[in-house]
Amino acid sequence: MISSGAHSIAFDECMALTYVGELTQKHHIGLIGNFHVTAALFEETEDPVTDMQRCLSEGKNLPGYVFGLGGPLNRLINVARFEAATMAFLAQRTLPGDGTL
Amino acid sequence: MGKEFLIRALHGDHVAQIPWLPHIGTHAAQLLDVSVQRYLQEAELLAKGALLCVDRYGCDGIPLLDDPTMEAMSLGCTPHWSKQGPPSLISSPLSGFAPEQLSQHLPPLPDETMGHWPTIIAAGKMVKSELEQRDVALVGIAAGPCTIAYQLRGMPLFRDLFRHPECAAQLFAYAGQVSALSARIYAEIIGCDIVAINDTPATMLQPAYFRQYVLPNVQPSWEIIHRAGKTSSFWA
Repeated sequence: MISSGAHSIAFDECMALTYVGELTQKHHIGLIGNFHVTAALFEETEDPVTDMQRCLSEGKNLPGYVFGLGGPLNRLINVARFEAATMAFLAQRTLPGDGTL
Repeated sequence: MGKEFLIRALHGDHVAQIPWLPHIGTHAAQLLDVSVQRYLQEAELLAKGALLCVDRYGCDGIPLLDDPTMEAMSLGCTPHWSKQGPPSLISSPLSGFAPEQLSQHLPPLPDETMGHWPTIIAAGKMVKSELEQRDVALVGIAAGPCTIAYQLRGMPLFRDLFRHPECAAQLFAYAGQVSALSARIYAEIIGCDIVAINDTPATMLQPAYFRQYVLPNVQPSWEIIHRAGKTSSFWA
């Protein structure tokens, strides 16, 4: 999939972000993922902000990383939980330093 | 900078802030407080839904439509609408044929005048300039070859892969053409900045089958997207 010829891939919530990131880095393509929508938004067994922070802390070291969902939002969700994660992401996504990740 | 960061990141580059692109599904219907059936079939609601999600969640790119059954419905599959998500398909028009008969019963290839395409194109026109003003990328999501082959053939597809590989290859080649037509409409007619091929059922294939059936049949889509100067993404 990574070597299919696409500029980037999106992968689901079952995959390890860091592992996928190592592979996409080798192929110099982007990667989108992989907020745990099932646990954080559908089943509400995981804290959405904590899972966003997992994505951010693992993704920030990967060139080409794009924060995204590990599956489509195809069920009714508690919008406040999703908003909490996205607002916290927007506040934290710019890294201090020289302006590059 | 949001759109530029997103596109540069999708090409594998370092960018100054992590971009954000949601696999939004049918969530906009919930925000709009309308049924999924209505949301997916009305251009104004698709456009309003995309803008609502952008404004609410601050994303750098937004799918115009995130419905993996859209192509299949224009090929003769019957939908069963659900309250929360995209419709389920309750009939596969090629499921009853012997493998060697498949090539004679492939539906005519769709174009931008068929099925839901006029609605989606109209939604794209409504939303594109609004997104440009917000510096947000418009994303088209086309169904991938395995998704389309599976929707047309149903479960017998997985038997065909190893018992009738030539018939399966013909079906995947056809499905790849449908996928590429969708990619062309998103890239060239609607003018999406990013075109994704969503092929979740392909993850059920063992690697050898993925290489044999899926990889060659996504290439036409990448060629079309890249020739149009757009950014490609493979979702599974």
